[in-house]
Amino acid sequence: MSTVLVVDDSAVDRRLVGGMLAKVSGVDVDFAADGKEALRKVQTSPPALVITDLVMPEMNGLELVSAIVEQYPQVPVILMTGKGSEDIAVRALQAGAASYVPKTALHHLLVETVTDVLAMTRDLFSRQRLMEGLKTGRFSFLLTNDADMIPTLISYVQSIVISIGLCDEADVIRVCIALEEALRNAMFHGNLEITSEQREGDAEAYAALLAHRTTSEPWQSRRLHVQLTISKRSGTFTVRDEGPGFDPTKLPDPTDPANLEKVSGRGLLLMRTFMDEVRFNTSGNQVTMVKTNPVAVEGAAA
Amino acid sequence: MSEGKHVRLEQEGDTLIVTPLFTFSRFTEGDLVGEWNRILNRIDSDEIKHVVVDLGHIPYFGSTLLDWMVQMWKRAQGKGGTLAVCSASQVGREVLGVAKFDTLWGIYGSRQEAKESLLNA
Repeated sequence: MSTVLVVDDSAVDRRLVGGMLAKVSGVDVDFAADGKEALRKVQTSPPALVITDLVMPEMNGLELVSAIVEQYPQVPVILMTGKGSEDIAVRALQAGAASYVPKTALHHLLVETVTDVLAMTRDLFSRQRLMEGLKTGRFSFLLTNDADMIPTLISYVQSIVISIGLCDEADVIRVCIALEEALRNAMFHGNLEITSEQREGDAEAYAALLAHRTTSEPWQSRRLHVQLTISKRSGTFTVRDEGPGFDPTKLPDPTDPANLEKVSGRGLLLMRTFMDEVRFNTSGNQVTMVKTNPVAVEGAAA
Repeated sequence: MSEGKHVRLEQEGDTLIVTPLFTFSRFTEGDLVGEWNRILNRIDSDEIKHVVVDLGHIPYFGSTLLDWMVQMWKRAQGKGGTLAVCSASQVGREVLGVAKFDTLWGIYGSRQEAKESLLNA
């Protein structure tokens, strides 16, 4: 049985929603009268789904969404919104709510929405279980200079690294910081040939330059080549751009007191700090970073 | 208070509190330009002298935010003010340490401590 936690300060509305959910097979319904009580119940025993009212004393629905998304990202939240709270519904979705249902349309939409969200969650769990069996991942991406793909790729790599167990949670973050720096470096400095000074200068001028470079030759046709090999023992992350390359030895040391106020070089510094090995090809348009799992290496040696 | 997609701005006296939100790590370049303009406009206003960067909502950050902090610090310095940082995560403190920014600014555990440090600045 999947437990659905209904959060509403109105006992009448709790009963109304509980009655509707009773029609959904395989669902148990639990109740809380405000966000704080709901969070306590989620902490004690995470439900399969939370359905919450928006306006409540103590902790409101939006705050509850944020708290659950941050602390229990595996628990989806559906918001019930009153008339005139569409803006807040949008904010809730941006904060990570799975869906929302207007209170005026509960009879039409609630059961269907709950069924859909529970099915999606079950599918997600199944995929997570499948990923637990993944031992080695080899990936090759060919990307355009669309910066919106960077966080998406980082998020994907993060899930792969966690599934395979290359490193602990803090080290996963370090790997992701280094990879993000490599991707941004390749896209902006490599393919688009935008300098740190241009990127950190006048924001409007930067936006215009970016728009021009992403739609003009030779910059727009350049691609980003990303190759990843991730196992429990080590991860190798190679990023190549099609720009003119650079000489990494000529970058100023950003930790030199004379350079601390400058805007360049810190990305490479973070890559070198958070990966075990960082090497460039001779033309400087390809970086290979290696992260080793010391626990797996020691285990293999023993 | 002014809340953008990725950064919240609050003014307390002559101090601007800049709080990158949880979604900061998912910023797009288009967002970045808008957010950056909004921050600079606020720092450049006559009411603002100091800046506190509250990192309590983001688990990690990279060179983009580091570069922003340098720019904000320079702007504040130009008005006789300074910058303080608070509430960084463990990895966040590492990033600040790697960049040697802990030698430039005070890094504090809480927003209150950061604000108090600016009283004598």
